[in-house]
Amino acid sequence: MIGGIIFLVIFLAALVFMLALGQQYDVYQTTAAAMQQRQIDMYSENILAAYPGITKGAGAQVSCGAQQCNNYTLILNNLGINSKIVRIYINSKTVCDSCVIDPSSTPLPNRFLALDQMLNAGESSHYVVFWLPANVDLSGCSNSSECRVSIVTARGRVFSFAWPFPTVPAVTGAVNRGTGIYIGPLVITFQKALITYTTNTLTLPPIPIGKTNGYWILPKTSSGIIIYVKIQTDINVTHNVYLTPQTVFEIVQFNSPGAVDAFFTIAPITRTVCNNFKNATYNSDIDCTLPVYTGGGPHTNSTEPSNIVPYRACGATPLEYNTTCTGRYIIPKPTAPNQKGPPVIVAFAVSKASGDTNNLQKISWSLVSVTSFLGLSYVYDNGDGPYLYGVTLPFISLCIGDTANPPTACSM
Amino acid sequence: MRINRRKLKRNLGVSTVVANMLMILITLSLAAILVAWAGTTYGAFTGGSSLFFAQRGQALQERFVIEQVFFNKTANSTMIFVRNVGSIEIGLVAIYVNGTLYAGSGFNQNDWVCTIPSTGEKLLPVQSVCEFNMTWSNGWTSGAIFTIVVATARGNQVTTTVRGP
Repeated sequence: MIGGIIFLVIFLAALVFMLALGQQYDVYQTTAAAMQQRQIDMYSENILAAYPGITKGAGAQVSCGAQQCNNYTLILNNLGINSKIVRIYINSKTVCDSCVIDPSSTPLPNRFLALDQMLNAGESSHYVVFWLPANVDLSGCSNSSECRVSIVTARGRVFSFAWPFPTVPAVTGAVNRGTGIYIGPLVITFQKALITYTTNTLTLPPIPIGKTNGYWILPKTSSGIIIYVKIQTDINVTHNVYLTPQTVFEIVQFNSPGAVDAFFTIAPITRTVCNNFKNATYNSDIDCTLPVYTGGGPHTNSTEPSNIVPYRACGATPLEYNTTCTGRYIIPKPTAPNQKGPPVIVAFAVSKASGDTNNLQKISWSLVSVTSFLGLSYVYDNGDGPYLYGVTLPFISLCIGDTANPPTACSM
Repeated sequence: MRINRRKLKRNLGVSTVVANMLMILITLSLAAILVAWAGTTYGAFTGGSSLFFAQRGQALQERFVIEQVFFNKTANSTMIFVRNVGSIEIGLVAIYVNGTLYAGSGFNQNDWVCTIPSTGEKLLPVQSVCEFNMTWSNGWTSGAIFTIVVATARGNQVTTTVRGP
């Protein structure tokens, strides 16, 4: 019996030891689980910079403590769980050797706003305002001398990106062509200044037409009008395009489809007129170095309908068109890869091909809405040899205004 | 023939009661020895395991990161930023660069820069960050690879590899 008791005592002592060991192990496992969850949370963070990455505050520098600072805004997207930013590093060879930016509740140099520390899960376009000393200007960051920005979170993750964002070179055949009307080698780029006009009383083309009226508008006119359209070659076009006199601009009434006014092209405008266009708003990209038409007529081709120089026909074959015929409308090919060619101002005014001042097209409608078409006739070599092409482009809608020049009223 | 009763008496064994008493005494003695041994052994085991789990638990709670490494060509220096993101205070004891120990006098002392003492450790509270500024006597080489290891007193290490810009 005594032995049994002794054995029991030893057994119970061992049991107590096992329980104590189990409890310690349990505590250890709890700690391990907690740290594992912390690890999971840490790797669930995901912060990305959103375009444009960093923007500089508009206006003058701000006061930060005893000095002036440049203020910036960092734009972030949070694709993970909620995170807290504890520090921002900016490293650049030229601008900021080692900028260390800590949180602060007030503007101070090398600080960011503490209120912007927290990012909610899934939050997009989160702004973080930070301040740098006045002698540190991030505008010095460029693609060739980029700044590396590192964002440190409270869980120990570091998210870095280069700023400005590296530009992706355009891929041949997949470039961003912008908005416009494309057919063949020519393009009418969508912009306010793609069309304008002049009359005998309005010799300086309003650009954009409509001005305070806010839309494309042409006046009713009994004394003629010259309409100008900006045309250019598309990206990767390999040869110049030569317009023929059959090129026409037509307007058609919305509620009377049979009512059509056709404006055929006239001779290219003078270089002086071209430079006037070039100096106007939206038209700095015009090429005024092209040859000026000198083919005929007693008048120079200014902006007045009473001084029309006709665009004479040339009977050469497409193969000889650009060499035999002089003074053609040349829509030049692009001068650089992945860019459109320089735009050319093409003038329309007469009611028949190669017409002159005696064939001025007038607009007899008033306060109506019209749609328009461009009938482009041109010689172009796409690599298989020059050929004469004719295409019709549905163009823009306009309003024919009142008789005032420029018009002040419109039915649109 | 008379039997020598005295001899008989001397040749007789102990009585049952005495035998039982002796057995009890012997058993109790052995038991006492066994209990003492068991207590000592179990106590040592318990203490050892408690210490083991406590130390492992503390080591498990350590989390720290090398969040940034800056290279300064003008000053021939490298700045290493270490942040404690765990749930317990850590003690940094050594920084190795490409296998070479940099500690103590190897660091420059600035007002706001941490240093690791030659003996002992640099304590880093939770959510605190330390910058260690290393000065190179011969300068650092652009394009060279640096493997940086930061070690704590509890045996944890964090390694990062950077390239000189």
